[in-house]
Amino acid sequence: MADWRVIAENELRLMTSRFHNKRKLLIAVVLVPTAIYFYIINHFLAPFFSSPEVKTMLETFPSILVWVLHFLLFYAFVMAAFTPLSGTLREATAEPIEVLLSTPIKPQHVLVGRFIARSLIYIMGAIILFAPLDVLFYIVYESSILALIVVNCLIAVMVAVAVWISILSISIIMSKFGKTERGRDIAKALNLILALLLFIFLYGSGWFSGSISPEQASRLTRVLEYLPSGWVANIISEIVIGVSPEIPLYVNIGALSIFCASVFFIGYHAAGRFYSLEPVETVKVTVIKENFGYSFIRKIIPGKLGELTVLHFKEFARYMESLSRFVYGLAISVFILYMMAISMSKTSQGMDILVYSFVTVYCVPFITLLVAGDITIRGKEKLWIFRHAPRGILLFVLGKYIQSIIVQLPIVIAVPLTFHFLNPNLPMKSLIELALIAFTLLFGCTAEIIGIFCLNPAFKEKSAKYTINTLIYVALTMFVPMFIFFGIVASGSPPEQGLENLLTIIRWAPVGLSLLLGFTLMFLGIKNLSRME
Amino acid sequence: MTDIAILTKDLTKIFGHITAVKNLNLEVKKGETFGLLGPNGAGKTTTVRMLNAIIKPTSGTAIVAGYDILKQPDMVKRNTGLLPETPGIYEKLTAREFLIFIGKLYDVERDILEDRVGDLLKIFELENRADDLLESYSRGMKQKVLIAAALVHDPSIIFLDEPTATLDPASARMVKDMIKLLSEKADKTIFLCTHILPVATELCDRVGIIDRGVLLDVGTPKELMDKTGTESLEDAFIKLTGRERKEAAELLEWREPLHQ
Repeated sequence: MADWRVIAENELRLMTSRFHNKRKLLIAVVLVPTAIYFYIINHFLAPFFSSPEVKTMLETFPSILVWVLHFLLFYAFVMAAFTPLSGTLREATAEPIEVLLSTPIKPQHVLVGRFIARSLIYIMGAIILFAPLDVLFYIVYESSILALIVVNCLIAVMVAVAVWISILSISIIMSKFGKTERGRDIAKALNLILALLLFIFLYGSGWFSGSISPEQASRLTRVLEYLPSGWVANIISEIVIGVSPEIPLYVNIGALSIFCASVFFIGYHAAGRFYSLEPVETVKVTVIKENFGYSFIRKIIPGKLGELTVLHFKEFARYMESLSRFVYGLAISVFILYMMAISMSKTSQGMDILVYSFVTVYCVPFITLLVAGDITIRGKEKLWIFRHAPRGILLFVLGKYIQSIIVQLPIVIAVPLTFHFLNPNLPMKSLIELALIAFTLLFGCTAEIIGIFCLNPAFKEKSAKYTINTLIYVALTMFVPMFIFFGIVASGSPPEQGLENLLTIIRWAPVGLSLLLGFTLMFLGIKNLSRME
Repeated sequence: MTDIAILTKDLTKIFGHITAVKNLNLEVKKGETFGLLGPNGAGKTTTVRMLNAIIKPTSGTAIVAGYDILKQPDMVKRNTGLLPETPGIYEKLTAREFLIFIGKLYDVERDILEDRVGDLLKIFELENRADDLLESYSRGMKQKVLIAAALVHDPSIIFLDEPTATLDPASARMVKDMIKLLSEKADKTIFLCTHILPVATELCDRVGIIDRGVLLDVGTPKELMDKTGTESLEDAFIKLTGRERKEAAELLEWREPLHQ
């Protein structure tokens, strides 16, 4: 068996390791949703595409479909390039590279094997997801089977190039960062920055595509035309839809061919550099003098609790991953607040304060999860140090609580500031109330997340316990307030005291609940960690 | 030349301005168990990586199993097995899947491979956990899987970097017995890097002491003890590397108050 095939087979095993002792179940897990998906296409989408209204609209305004095609293919290209990269960076585990390099395998074969395995999965996924396009082309434009095969081949090539770029990026980044603990920390931090960019891209493009005008769509299409996904879209729109883009067909085919060939050629020949055990430059970090901030914290929080708070601060500040979580939280909170507040304000005129408080209730817990959810993540060994020290666990948890609150203060300050920026006419009284809601929620949610993680300690980020804790937290902080919110609204007519009082209750009920739940969970969590075996 | 398994010629490796290995000249005979001993950062792992054609020397070369590490790296790899010092492992594979994967990389025939993997798992007492993901294994169990991986293609030279460091006493005994048998009965050449000097004393026909990239001395454990006038390999090692044993008073000094 060729070496790349051994690597590809191994890669497929790794990707499906959750089903390592029940591979047949995996086939069912893939086939059942696919069958349901095709059933929906056949019974709902196909009749919809066959309707005279849709046919007339697409024949009259084919540029709509061209825009959608460009957007979808660009979206697929970005996702195929970023998803494997993000997954690898998130785990950032040490590869068994020394074991691999001691075998008679060429680095190129490692690269090709990984590419084949991943691209197979991604191409299959893309072809299944793009099936509605085939149906549309077949029904509306009466495309031949050959034309549909060409369309799917083009999509496959585009996805394969994106996966190849992703595999190359993974190899380059992990060859730099995968060998040291600090490097892996940087890789995880990079993943969060990448996730932030993807989030803004996905959320922003969804919001943008919903409100785009025909002129804006046309301008954007002209930009997308010059990207690899744009060349594919141009070829499809010319041979299937019959719309000739500005760039001639032969230029699109030529550009796509040259791009694919050069990307594969360069990557293949540079592979030897990615897989080596030549040592990376080790960064030695020497702390000459302690930060002034730490002395300040010790002054305002005297004794052991101050020491523990400082310890948590040092752990937080010296991990690039923690810092990027902070940046991620800040950027996303401002972004979500801005987007949600704008879109909700449009439909709820005169209820700005209610909308803003609702958005705050959803934003603050998210930030808290990012910043305070790591209390037990970095190894269980250190817990034994605190278990051994007098009142160690209590101090450990309280120190983390105080440190998380202080770290989140600037993020939570951004909440009223964003509302002020969005709506400068908002009265000062309302702004103060929103700030109070945000701060009080911060106290409650931080206690909740710390409490949950102390009750059910998760020592790895990619563990079932971590996922369960996150789900419990999301349910407590996001769904319960939603039920309260809508429960009060749906409970009927306003109380005798009037609408104003009802709205105040709606705004403050989730906050009160979060405080009550938070401190109860944290108290129980401290008890649990103290007696855990 | 035919009875020499490893021959290095002025083997040198320089990383930036650090000389990890300097003009190493060494001979290891076929069927011999050779121990390379040295303090942390002495150049042991770099030497092993060069001899396995994983990294290229800055100058000099070596002949391993009759093949030049610079000109025939693939043949060197086919004839050697390596247990690295800090190995990564595919946590999401089972032990059986991992060993079969490694065997395939060395082109071991499928029917031989499956039997051999089964036998190795049995010898290392892992057959009951063979189909569990490696992420659930203890450090010692992972070490056993990695030793099995170094043997799965039945190489003529086996490089073992700290093979017993993470094993429990019974498993360490089993590995030591296996090393002895591989050398005595199967005529394998074993190249051992270890900090555990009793292991080196027990297993190695000859040992080399390396420090700061320079090979200080080579000989049987007894020869080194005689040469340094010491009574254990540990003392010989300390003397050869220029380290000193600390006095009892110095070791307890930390308990004294700083300002009296």
